[in-house]
Amino acid sequence: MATQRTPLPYWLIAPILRGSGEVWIGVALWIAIGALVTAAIMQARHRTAWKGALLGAILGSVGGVLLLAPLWFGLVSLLDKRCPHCRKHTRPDAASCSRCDHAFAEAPRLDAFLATLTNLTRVILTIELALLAGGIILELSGKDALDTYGVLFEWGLGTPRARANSLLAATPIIFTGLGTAIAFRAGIFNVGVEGSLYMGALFAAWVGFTFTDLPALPLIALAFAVGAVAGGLWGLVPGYLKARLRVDEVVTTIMLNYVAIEFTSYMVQSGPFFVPGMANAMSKTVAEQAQLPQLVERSQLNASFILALLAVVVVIILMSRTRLGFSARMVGDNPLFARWSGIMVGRTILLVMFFSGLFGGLAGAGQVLGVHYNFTARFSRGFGFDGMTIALLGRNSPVGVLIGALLFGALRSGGTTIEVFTDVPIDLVDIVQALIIFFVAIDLNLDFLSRRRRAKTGPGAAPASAAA
Amino acid sequence: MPFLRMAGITKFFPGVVANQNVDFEVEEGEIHALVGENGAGKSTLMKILYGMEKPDAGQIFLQDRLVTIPNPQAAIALGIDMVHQHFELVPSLTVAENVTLGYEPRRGPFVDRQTMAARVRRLSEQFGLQVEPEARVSSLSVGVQQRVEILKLLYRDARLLILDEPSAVLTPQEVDDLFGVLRRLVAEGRTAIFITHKLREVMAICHRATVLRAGRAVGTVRVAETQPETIAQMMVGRELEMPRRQTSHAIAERPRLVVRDVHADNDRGLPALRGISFTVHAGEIVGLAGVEGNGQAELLQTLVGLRFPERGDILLDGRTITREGTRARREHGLAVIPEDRNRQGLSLPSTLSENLIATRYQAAPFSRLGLLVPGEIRRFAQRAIHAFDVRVRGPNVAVKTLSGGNAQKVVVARELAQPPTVLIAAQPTRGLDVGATQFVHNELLRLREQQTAILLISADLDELLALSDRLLVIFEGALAGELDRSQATRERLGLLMAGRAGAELHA
Amino acid sequence: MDIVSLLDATLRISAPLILVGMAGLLSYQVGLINIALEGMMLSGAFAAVVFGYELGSTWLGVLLAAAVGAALGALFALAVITLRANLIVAGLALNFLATGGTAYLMDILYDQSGTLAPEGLSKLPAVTIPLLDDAPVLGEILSGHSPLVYVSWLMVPLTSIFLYRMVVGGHIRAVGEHPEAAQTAGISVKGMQYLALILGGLLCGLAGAHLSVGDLPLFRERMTNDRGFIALAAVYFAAARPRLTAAACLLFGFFEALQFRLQLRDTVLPNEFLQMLPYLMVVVALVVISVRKEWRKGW
Repeated sequence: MATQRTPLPYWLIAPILRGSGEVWIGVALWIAIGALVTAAIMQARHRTAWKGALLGAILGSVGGVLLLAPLWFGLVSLLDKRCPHCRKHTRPDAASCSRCDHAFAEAPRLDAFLATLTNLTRVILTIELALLAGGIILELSGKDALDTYGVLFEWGLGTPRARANSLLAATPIIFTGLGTAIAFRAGIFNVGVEGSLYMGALFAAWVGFTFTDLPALPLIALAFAVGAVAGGLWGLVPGYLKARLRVDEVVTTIMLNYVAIEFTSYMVQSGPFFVPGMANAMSKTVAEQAQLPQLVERSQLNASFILALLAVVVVIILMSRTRLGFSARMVGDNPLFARWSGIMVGRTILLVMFFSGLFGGLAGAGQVLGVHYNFTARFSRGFGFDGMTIALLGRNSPVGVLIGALLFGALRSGGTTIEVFTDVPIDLVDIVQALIIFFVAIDLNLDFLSRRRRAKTGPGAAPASAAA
Repeated sequence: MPFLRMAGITKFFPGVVANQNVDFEVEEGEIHALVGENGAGKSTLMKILYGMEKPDAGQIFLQDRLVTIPNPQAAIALGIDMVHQHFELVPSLTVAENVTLGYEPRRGPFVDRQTMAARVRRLSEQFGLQVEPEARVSSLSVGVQQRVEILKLLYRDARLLILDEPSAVLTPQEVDDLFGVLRRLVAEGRTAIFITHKLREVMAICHRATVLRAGRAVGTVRVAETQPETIAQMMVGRELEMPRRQTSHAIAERPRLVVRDVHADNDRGLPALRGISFTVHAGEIVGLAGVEGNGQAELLQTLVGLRFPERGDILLDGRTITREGTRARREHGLAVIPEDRNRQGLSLPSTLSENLIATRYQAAPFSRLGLLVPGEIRRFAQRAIHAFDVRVRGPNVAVKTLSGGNAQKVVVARELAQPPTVLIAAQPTRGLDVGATQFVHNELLRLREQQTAILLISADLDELLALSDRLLVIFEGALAGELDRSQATRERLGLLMAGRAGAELHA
Repeated sequence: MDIVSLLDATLRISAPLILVGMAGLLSYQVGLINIALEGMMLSGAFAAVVFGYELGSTWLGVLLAAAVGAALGALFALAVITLRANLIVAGLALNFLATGGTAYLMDILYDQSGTLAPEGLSKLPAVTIPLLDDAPVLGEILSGHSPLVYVSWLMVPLTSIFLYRMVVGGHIRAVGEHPEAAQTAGISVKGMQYLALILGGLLCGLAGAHLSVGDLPLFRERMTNDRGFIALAAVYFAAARPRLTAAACLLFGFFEALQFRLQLRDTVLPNEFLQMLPYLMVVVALVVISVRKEWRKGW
């Protein structure tokens, strides 16, 4: 799953392209963004009636476009390249002048910036399209879309407490997103991070309630370490099967997820960690000193969030600066070439799957030590699958994963309160999430609109690898 | 009037001219060989005939009637059908189901199995192609599978059968059976186009042969009136004459690469290398000539460590490396310029820098304490770009944006960055222009001065003759002969390549 | 433990599994992993209750449940085949859409949450097989089930005939195994894939209908309870052979029935191990297949 895809058309990031006919699409999309954002903000602040909000939205969007557009165009044209020979302006991602064919010197920072911009736009658009679709569903069911989104916005990002809760919700997803992204980058379609999460959670909890004589820091460190290793080892199972026996990893990881869920449930429901007298299926509570300190009052945001941020940095270093990161990228880009170059593909697969599971384990450990303070059977609300979604959304880049996780976290966190303040059921959040995932899956792939015909055969996925 | 006439066929792919104004004629009732090395354009030409590609220019006439063939179904409707090199058989379906796929005899929505089996059986008897209609294709040997493919063509009543490298997967006995079938088909008025590398077969069964080289039709000959070496020579070589280089030193006695009695199978389990043995000494360029498909690919894989021989040994500077992996061999000084530049030699989505260090990233100076050193990598990349004159904007471009010549320079830069002990160069100048070719040759000679042992595997006789100190010819997995530089001529090489092992080595 | 009631329960519980198994089987045969079985089944369950209630006829509800399933199958096909969406993620999306969508609609339409059990909705009438019903043991086990149970049994030979006796089925199998060969033979690869997914969706819709109106007529959130994945496990375990898949589904249904009864008493064998058994079996089966393949190649 290499990160190389057809880049988004330029018209999406620079609505006015000299002489381009696709201007209107870009402009329309930006108007929509403006409308939505303006309306949500207005609603959150003033809670005006929806008619007023709509009007405000229109005015706001027009004003927004009028304000934003020149700013945006101005910014983009600042980036334009100017041919030293014939003085023609060309788009910043051009490799050579369109008139005189003079090759431009390499500008890595500019290219990187444009790439980031493109990816960011893609992320925003995906989420935005999903929100739009969700809004339409809301309106069709007789609910007030603007009102709902206003609440969502306020309770996701409006108050400090809301923000803290969003970060809290984002924490496990950062870990699972990183874990999944590592594997995807190496061309391994690992759907099993959820299972690693459970294993990590279980064993971290075990450390937490067993080694109660240890002081805080060593106990916490040990718990995280054991949880991470447990998750990593769990990832090694499908990794070994793939590396040594060439068993396709998609189906095995899906199945092993369920094995992990059942196994860990067993451990607390009737197995060694069973606590008699407890109504729910949960383990003993971890020692007090192992419970992670809270970062903010009135929110369960805890130190595992800091760890998650550190993890992002670690993965950035891992993928771009270590030998394993290099071999993982090469295996993901062209496994045959990797073999010819002497890269040990089998070993790379094993290590990648270990690290992939490791981050899943950290996710679980973080939840145990920071939120629940014990291991409860089936506690995960699909953190692993969320991680997969944002890995795709963020194009397997650690920063992209972070941004995606923050967005998802805000959505989830804000979503839980919707039911309280509006008459919209919480399931709407599930629907919006599903739409986001759906749009991510499609990857805003508008190729089918283009005149170039694609290959005649279908996607041809299973039983072999289902990587897109 | 020829049965088939393809006139002025031209086909472009990005960066490459696959067919350039090719004229191709086939008479009714003949077996016509289409010969040429990889990349010569034969597959493209036949894909155009079969409707899998659309020509950019040119026309196709069937019995003097202009036809258009937009897709394979149209070709089949016209009576043109093809057996691909990689069979188009569905493994879990039966013989009869495969033969009739898409054209099944039905009873309503149901398959009429009796009729299906009966028809297949009838065809099978009619053409002497023994098959069991209810057998599952996956359980059949390759030779029988091929019979099923041919039956498929006959079921669709093909008048013109195109066979793409049919004997590549067959044992000698099966090849004889195939020839029997072809003769029978031709006897009853059908026509066959036989794409092949194997000159022995061209001589054995084909009436005429057309040679393609670098996208152009070089000529058509009557097989009965031509020597195989002539055809071999038509296939290889270039427009440009390559002057012979001067040897400036006597070859050292030190053997750097020793291959001893190596036996290896190919992917299908058939023997590809049958006891091949040779030595390459320090400061020597040993050229390996041979028509493609005689074991070169397997030899390359075995030397690199991607395939392990059933028997035999390989020694690098005296050290036995027969069972060692690729990384170990590279660490001991082995370098390779692979045959397939874009799939084996480069990672197209990756950057120039990444491609340049892919073989050595794990050690100093590119890695220290497990971490990559970007400064060193960048420095190396810039030096390489400069030294090898790679036309790029910078080291962070994706390699897929490079032209063929530039891309090959990247491969060469990578492999030659540290003077290797042994360099294996496979088709190093394929698809390159004069300048790039010159460059690669200069590098090879430079290495030779530095006492590297070089094995040059090439289908280009001129290249081999210009550069090699010694020439080996591989034929059907073993050495057909060995010639010293002074004794090697195109004619002699051609003989050996065509399997005429009895060729005398003196004038 | 009452063996007879256990077997009776097995048949009842494995019916939806078999139907979904056949659906998953069709996807497998056409070369696609169908993760969305779960969502299509859940939607069918919901549709059966809603339409059964609104239209006053449970049978109509079942019919429309099948239609809804087919529509979702078409949507999935559109995403994956035409829009080239990532297969797994699109499947996940569909599942979430179904989970959230059914709960949402339940709230919007009926102001209920958790469970939807409309008054006046009757479950499907039990079918008694005339002579068999009087038989001592077999009668209890085999007769008296909801009609969809018998439908599920019927689906197995039907699927078999469809795949192995009908021209269309042969085309589907060809597309799944060797799309190029099918293409050259004039078969529409995309067409076959669409067909398989839509038919699969239809079957999932029926399975869902059995869950909701075949038993106690109600819909509960998430009532499919990962059955879609168990059925998928059965398909992979059986390498998409219809009879073997159905047998695996029966086995897994048996596990579930057994586990429910074991839960009511203290036993040595934990429930969770029974529940994880299907998934483990798939992994083992896949390993065995790979080992055999490597063995043939000579390692």
